[in-house]
Amino acid sequence: MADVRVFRPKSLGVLLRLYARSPEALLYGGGTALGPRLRGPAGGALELPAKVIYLGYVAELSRISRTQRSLDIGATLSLARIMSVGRNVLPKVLHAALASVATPSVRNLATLGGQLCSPEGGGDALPALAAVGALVELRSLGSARWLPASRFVEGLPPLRSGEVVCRVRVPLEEWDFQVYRKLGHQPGTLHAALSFAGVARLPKGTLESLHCSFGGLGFGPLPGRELEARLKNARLPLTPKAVEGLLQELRRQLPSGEPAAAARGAASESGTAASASPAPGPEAGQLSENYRAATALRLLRWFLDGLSAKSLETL
Amino acid sequence: MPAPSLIRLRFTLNGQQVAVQCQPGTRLLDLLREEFDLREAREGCGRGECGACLVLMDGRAVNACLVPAFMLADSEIVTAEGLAQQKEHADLRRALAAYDLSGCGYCEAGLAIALAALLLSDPDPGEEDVQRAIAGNRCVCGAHVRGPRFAASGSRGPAAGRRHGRR
Repeated sequence: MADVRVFRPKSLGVLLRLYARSPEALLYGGGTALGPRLRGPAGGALELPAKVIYLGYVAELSRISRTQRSLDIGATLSLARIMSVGRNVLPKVLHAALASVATPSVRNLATLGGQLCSPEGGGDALPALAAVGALVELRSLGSARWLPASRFVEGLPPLRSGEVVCRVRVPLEEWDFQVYRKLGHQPGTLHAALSFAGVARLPKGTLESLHCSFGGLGFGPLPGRELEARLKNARLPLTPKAVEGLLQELRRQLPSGEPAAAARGAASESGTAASASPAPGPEAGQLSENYRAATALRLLRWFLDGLSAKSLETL
Repeated sequence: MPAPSLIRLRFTLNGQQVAVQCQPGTRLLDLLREEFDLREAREGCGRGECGACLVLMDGRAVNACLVPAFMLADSEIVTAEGLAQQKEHADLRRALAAYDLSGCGYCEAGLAIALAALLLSDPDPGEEDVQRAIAGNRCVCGAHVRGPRFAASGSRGPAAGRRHGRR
């Protein structure tokens, strides 16, 4: 068995210097997603790489602070702690997403940093972070930058060598509608097969702002800027053309395994991939992909229809 | 081949200061069972889904199968055995035994830890609080685990019987 060194820095400065010297080191926070992946074939002890940097003692990463406009949450604060401290200020969609992650005991260990950088391609809270416009602070020795959380929805975490997720800034904005749904599980995990977060602001019957984001599909939030600009100040109920525009934008981004996606017209009532027949003799994974795509379209239509009818049971 | 690095740890286990030397990746679950012969935390799923290995770590219920040794330094660990020795939780264990919650017995210790953690934060939990607290407890026998009903204010233990239901 290889020699393993575990570093336990107590400050951000020491962490960044360590990581700059050893960018191949494994950063270990709560470990709830990493731990099961590191178990050996016979079970038991984790098979750790040569260098591990444990983040749990870094003071700057476990703080939570509030301004009038935002809540700054340290990357290693446990989800349970975030939900407890932020109970009355977190956007409800984010609170619901955090509460859906795994089990209560896992949430006592799991962290927001892990939600962003999960090896499963982002945790279940990620769509909610993206929908509310959360920002993520990344720091390395000598540099700092902020990225939208939506960048983490798109697949591999967009981190440069030596960068560490330090905190997440959650805007404290009022939303008239907030919904979160989590469906199914990815095989062998508690991660959702598909998750959806949607928020909207509707002053005086117009659509001032609308954001939604999916987890498990590998692309960023909707709508894109062009469509968002067209929808701004649209009156409710949304026109069929506006609804179909959003559905088309989703269809364009769905995995390419979805059959006949480009051929669907605005007249399709359900607007789902379920109406298209699957390719003959599909593999189980392909069927699963089609089903997720179909369900994603249904979720979006349900959200838009409910928004228009003001019939959504918001959080 | 170089020997695997060992780390030396000090932490509190069931109220006692302990010191141990082990590989950094050794799971807390394995440490408890093999080093300290505390076997009520059990291997279930190995990934935090079933709650069979729950222990209290610094007052919070955590899955011992997910905690590597290097996370333990200076922490306070309480196992189901330790709960039984604590006056405030002794009633809880006796009441759970009276409930016959554990058709096979495998999940009872984890359930006790989940409920003890709840009582630490809320001495007078409601039905929904109990259900939320045990949402991560599954029994290996496949039965559905239902939480006990807690008595009205002031209680620190379950008062009425609920049985371990079978699907």
